[in-house]
Amino acid sequence: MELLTNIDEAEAARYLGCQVNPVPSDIKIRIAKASELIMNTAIPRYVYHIFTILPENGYELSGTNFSLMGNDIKKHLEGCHACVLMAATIGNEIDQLIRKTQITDMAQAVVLDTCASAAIENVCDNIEMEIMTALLKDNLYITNRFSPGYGDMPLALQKDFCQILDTSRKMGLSVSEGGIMTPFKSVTAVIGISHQKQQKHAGGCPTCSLQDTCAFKKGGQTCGK
Amino acid sequence: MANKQTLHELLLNKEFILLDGAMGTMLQNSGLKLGEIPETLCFSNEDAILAVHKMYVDAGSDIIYANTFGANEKKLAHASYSVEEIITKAISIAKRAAEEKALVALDIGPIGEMLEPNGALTFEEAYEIFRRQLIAGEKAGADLVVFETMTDLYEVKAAVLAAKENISLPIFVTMTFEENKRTFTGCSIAAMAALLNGLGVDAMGINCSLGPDEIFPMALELSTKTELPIIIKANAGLPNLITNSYDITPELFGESMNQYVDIGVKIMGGCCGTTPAYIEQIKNTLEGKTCVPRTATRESVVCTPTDTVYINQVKVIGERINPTGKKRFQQALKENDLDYIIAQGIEQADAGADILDVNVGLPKIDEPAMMKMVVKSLQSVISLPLQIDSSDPAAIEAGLRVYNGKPIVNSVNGKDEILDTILPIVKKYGASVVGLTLDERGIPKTAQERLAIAQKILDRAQSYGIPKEDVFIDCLTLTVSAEPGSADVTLEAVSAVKKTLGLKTVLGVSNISFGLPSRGLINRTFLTLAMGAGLDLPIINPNNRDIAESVAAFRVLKGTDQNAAAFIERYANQDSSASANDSKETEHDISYTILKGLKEETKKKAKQMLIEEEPLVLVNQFLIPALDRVGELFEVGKIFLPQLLSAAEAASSAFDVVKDALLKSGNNAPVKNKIILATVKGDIHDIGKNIVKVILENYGYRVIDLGKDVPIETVVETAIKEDVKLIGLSALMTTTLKSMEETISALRKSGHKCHVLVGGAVLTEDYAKMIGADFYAKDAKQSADIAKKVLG
Repeated sequence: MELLTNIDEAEAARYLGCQVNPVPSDIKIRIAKASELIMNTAIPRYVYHIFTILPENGYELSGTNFSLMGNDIKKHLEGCHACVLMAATIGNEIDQLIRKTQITDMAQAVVLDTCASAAIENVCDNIEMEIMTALLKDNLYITNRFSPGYGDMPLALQKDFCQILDTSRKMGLSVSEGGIMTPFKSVTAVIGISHQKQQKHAGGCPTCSLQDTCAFKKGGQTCGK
Repeated sequence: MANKQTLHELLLNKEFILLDGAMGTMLQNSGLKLGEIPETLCFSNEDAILAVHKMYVDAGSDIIYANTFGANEKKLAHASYSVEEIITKAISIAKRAAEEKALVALDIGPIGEMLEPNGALTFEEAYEIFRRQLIAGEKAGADLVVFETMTDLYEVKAAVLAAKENISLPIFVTMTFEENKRTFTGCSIAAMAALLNGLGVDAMGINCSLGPDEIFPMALELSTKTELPIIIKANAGLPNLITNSYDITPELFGESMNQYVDIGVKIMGGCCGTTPAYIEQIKNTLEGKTCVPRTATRESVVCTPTDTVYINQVKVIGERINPTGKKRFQQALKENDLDYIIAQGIEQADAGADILDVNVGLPKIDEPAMMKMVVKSLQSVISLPLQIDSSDPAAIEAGLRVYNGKPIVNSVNGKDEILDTILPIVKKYGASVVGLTLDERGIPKTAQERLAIAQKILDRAQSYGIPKEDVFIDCLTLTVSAEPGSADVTLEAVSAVKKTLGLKTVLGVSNISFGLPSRGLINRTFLTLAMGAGLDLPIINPNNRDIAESVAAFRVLKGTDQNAAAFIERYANQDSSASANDSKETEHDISYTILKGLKEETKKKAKQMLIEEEPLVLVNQFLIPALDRVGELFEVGKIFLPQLLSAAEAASSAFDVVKDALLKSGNNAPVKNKIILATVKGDIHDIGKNIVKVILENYGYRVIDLGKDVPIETVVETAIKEDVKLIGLSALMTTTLKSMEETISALRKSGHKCHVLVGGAVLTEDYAKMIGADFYAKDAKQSADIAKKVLG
């Protein structure tokens, strides 16, 4: 499966705070250049694993000694008997590229950074699609992704996700003592699995970890997700 | 085995050495939960561990790996046992199972956190973590240490150094590669071999990630890169994400190991998904076979994890990272302005250098500390190999120690004292070395005498165990206007060293033309002659077009640039683009070129304006107002962050013109007050801080950039020592806001009078107040406004 298929340039422009239409042409050119470079440099990798949820044991995941914490994730998983834990990254090479560009061309570095964020989103979307297609064969349906830091699910759970999925060994993704994932452009998430069709009820400001501090929201706008 | 043999006896006496198979797979089969720490089972389920070991010993393993893979202080941070307790227990269980029939290896996997520059863990911290494990393992009676499943060459270097310096056990190292023959961090097989050949381990190889058939091409490559015994521990095929099982049977696995026998692999076992049945099958495969002897190609090679440079044709060493005769560079060193130094490196890399020389020697600076910092910083953004250039042995060692890969040391010479001081360091870190053909008597006048010194350097290097291919000779370029005829002697010496000793040669080129007009002409003519005489490594300025062209042309003529492909790619369209640039006139005024982020035009314009305007008039009446205008547009949402930054960078090119003009007229540029910027302890996302830095510098502030993951004490000490009145702190993660708060509180406690400005994605005005900051800036523009308010 092709993991990184497209960088949404409009999304990248939004991440840059550029909500005007049309996007200024110099920014458009920068984004196009950065996207191409990110597409050529990224090395996407992922792992996922399916667990049965044990609600009677405080939302413990079968075969682990780990429980999902926070009320919002429980709400998100309502009606789900199982879930997928997933982790994805686009690689250290992207971090190095952004570091290097910060020294030679800060403006372009900022654009690369936002295009890289759009790229990891695209990778996650593709993985989600793969999981969805695989499960649909067994008449199973999935929810949207829900990541540590969304709602009241602690960011610190990233470390547990990575440990359970053995991401350090399987895909070169590790978490520092301070809770920072390296490579930077990485995502961990839970996806619920249910026998019933799911409303895609994740998404939007209420589930976003940046909801208190978001620059868009402060300006009365949204990032559109 | 009747009597237990040491590893070295095993290596000598046995055709093949059989390792064990997976531990984790076996433990999961017996009920270990995902996410649990497998090492604590040594206490909670000793019998299970003992049983697994015994099965492997019974299957024929000569060496078993103790259950210590993740027994490091990071992974055990929340466990109820210490590193020492787990390792002691695990080794004792393994020894009980081995019963003198097998050797027990202290098994050490990756720390589990990413090292600098990608992560927050420093090289030095990694070293200490490994040291603790190694000392415990040796004390517990391990027979050897195995570093396995490694993906980061830097981590491997820290591990091997820790072993070499603290224990005396034999060392095995295996790394994990993906199908593209790279590790997750981009490390190649050639780089692994170059580093480990140099550091001197007992065996090296590949484990995990893939099955035996996928690993084979990599083993084949490795077998040509090292003469050390090779280790292969493949997975039981490829994993299935849904079922978490592997796809090769023991029989197929055993069969697949046959191909490894043919290429001379001596040490074999299994990794994830393998069980004692797999080990038995390998044993069957090896029965009655003999280990095929191997010879690796001996090549002159230097590397970083991702880039390997073979000195098999002319390769360019860039000379620009050197303060000699360069005021701006000297100033950068004095002010710790690493970005300037790194930018010199990037420029040369982009211009086509193959290796970069790094010289940071300047009176009154701490050269070892500076060398260490510059090497680390360069390697965080540039993947070219480096040449550590110093006359101070401490600076050389400081650079070699933290270098990631195999570098060159520049230099030793024929003096005994120098040879006996520096060569042991070169050997210890497995570097290549440049030897200058001079000695106690100075630089000899004849080529024959220079050759004799080269011979002496080679002999001494070999006596320290440095292989011939790692010795490069510099026959020395003298100034031809002062020493007529000297160029000929140099060329003759180059050719003699090459022919008689078979060594690679190095030359600094530009010395030749001092005191003459049209130096470039002399330089490139001499360079061409020298390359013709056999020069392999010219040390030159790759940004200089004439010089670069000579090298490119030489490669075509020598046939090393096959089909002139590189030459054509570089020069085919050159003429049209050059003339297009030159014909562009600067018509717009400077506030327009700044607003549009036109760097070159802004620079030209500034130069033009300086003919009529005083430098300070240019700054105060043109540059600052232009920047203010850009700032206003940004604030009202008419322009956006990339445009704000490119405008700032364009303005910066004009400020550079002003600074140069002032330096030339003997004045120093007026420097506004100093501001400290730091990304707080624990946080390594520093792009926001760097954005603020660009903007503040353009308003003329001197930014003391402490970098990322900055210890609290460093912020406080620097604030006091440099008497800085405005401290800017950034944090991007909710998890690191705590350390921002602690930094502010430490600043307050120190009694140093200063204002604290904070920023970062997760911060708010309210939160900033709550943690005791004086100001919150929502973006870079606001930081500049606040600086103006506080410092003027």
